[in-house]
Amino acid sequence: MRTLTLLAVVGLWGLWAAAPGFAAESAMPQPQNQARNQAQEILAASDAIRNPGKPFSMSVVLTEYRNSQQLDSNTLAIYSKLDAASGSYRTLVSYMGPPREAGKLVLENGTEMWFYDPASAASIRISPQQRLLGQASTGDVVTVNFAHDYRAVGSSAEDISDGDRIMRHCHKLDVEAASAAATYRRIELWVEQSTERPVKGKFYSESEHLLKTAYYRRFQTELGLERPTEVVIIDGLTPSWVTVMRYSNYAWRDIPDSWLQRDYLPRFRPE
Amino acid sequence: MRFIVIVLAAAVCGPALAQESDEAALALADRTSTAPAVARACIEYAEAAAIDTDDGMPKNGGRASFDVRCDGVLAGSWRGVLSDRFDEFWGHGMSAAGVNTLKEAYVSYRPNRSIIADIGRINLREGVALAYNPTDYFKANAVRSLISIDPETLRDERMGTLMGRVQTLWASGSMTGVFAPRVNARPNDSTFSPDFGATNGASRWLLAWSQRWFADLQPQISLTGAEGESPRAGLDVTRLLNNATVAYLEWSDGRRGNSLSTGLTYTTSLKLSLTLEYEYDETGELGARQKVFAYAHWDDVGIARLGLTTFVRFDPSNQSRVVWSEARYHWEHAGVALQWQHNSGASWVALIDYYF
Repeated sequence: MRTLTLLAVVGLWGLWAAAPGFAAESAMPQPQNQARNQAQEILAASDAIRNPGKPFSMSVVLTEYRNSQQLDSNTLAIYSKLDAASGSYRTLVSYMGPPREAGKLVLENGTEMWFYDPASAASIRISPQQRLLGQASTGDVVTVNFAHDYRAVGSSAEDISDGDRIMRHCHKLDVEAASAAATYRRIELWVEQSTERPVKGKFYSESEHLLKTAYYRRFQTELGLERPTEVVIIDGLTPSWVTVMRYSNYAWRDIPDSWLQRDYLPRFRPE
Repeated sequence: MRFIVIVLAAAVCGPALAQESDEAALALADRTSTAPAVARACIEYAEAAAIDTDDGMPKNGGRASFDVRCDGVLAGSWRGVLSDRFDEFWGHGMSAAGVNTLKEAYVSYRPNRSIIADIGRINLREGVALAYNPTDYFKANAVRSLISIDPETLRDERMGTLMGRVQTLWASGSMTGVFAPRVNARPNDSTFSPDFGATNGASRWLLAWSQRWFADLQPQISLTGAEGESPRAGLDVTRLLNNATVAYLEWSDGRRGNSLSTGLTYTTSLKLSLTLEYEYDETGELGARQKVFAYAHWDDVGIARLGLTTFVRFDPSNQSRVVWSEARYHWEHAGVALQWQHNSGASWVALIDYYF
C-alpha cells in the first residue's frame, strides 16, 4: 500500500513537472524571465493602488445603463481584508439598496462564495460564474489582487487615452489566469508608467471573447493613497450596456476573521 | 444572430467603433450622479395576487399581503429583530380569511465579538441543498399560510421556533447550541395567533459545529434531539468543482432512518443557473423514498430585469411530477410576476408587489 502511494505521488509529480507551463518556465531564457518578473511587479504595484493593504470598508454605487437609459442602481457596502496566508482578499458584500435587495449578503473567501438572503435565512453556496449584479460580476465588486490570481506573461509600451480622455504613457500588460479563483481567462491591463496607476483593462473569456472593458478614473486620496474612485465597465458584446461603479465612504475597519465565514452571515449587520 | 451582426460589424469598423462606444460610455459616467442608499432598519412590501385554479373544479380567488422585517440596535450590545406577514385570502363562494404569520421576534445579546446569545422566535434554517433539507430540523409545521410550492417562497414564509440560542465563532469555525422548549398549546389557525403550538409541539435541542479543514472545505456536523425521539446526526458539505459548478451534500441519520439530498448547480456565462438534486428519505419526511428535483433560473432573458424560473420535482416510484414556472419582471420598487403550477390540476397566479 505504501509503495503504491509512493508511486502515485511520484507519478503525479512527474505529470505536473511535464505539463507545458512547467516546462516553459524552466526552459525560459533569463532575459524573458526577468521581463515577466518585472511585468508581475508592475501588476502588483497597480493592485496596491486599487486595494488598501489593511482591512477596510467602503460603499459602492453601481449604476447600470442600457442604450444610454439608466436601468438600475444598487448600493453595496464592502468589507475587505487581505488574507496574509493566501495573499488574496476576503470580502463581505452587503446590499444596502434598493429595498428589494437590502440586507442580502455575498461572502467571498478565496474560491468559496456564499449568498445569503435574510428573508429566508438561507445561505447558498455559489460559484464565481454566478453573476448577481448586471454586467458587474461579483468578481468585479469584491476586492481582487490581480497579481495573486493572474500572471503577467508580457509587457509592452503603449500610449492610450484614459477615462478622462487624457493621453497616458502606459505599460500594456498581458495577464493570464493562474488560479481557480480567477474570473477571467485573460486580461489586457494598461498601467501608467510614471505612477503605476491602473488606467484601462480588457477582460476575456475562455473562448477569447471580450467580456468587458473597464476604465479606472476619478483618482483621489483615500486611505493614504491616490486611488481610482470610479470604474466604468463597458460590455464586450453590447457596448451600449454600461455600468458605472463609484466608490465612497472609505474607512479602515477592524474585520475579525470570524466574520468571514458562512455561519456569521445571519449575524452580520452593517456598521 | 445579435452576436454574428456584432462580430461582423466589429471586424469591419474595428478600433474606431470601440473608441466611439468607449467615449459614449465615459460620457454617460460623467453625467452619473446617484448617491449611495442609506441603511434602513425596516423593509416593508405589499403584494396582491389573482389566482385561477382548475383541478377538476374551476375556482378563482385572490390574495393581498403585507410583509415587514425590522432589524435594529436596541441599546449597546442588544439587537432586536421582528418579521411579520399578513395574508388576506378571498375566493369565489367563500368568505375572506386573514392569516397573520409572526415569522420572527427575538432579541440578541453580544457581550463580545465571538459570542452571541438570542432568545425569542427565531427562524433557524440549516442545510445547503436547494429543495429538500434533511438537516433543516426546525422546518416542520412552520408554514402557516401556503401561498406557493416554490421552495424559496416556502422558506420566506415560514415561522421561526421559540428558542434560546448561543453561538460562539472563531476564525475557522463556529459552534451553536439551541434549546427550543415545548409550549403547552395546540396548533391554532385563528388569524392573529402566534401559533407557538405548531412550532413548539415538543422540546428540542440542537448542537451544530462547523470547522474549516482546508481552504475550500468547511463542513458542518450537527446533532439534534427531541423529547420522545432518539437523536439524529447530520452533515452539510459543499465543494466548488470548477469556476461554474458547485456540488453539495446534506445527510441526516437517526433511528428512524437516513435522509440525503445531494446535487450540482452549474451556471452559464449567460446568467442561466441549472440545478439537479437527488433526494432520498427513509423517515417519511419527504413523502416518498426518492425524488429528483431539477431547477433552472435565468436572469435578464432577452430583456433586462426579466427573470424566468422553473422546476420539476419527480417521484420515480409512481412517475408523478410537480411542475412550477415563473416569469418575473421588476422596476426599482414595483414588480410583476406570472406563475404556473401543475400538480393534480393546473393553477395560474398573477401577482404584483411593491417595496416601500
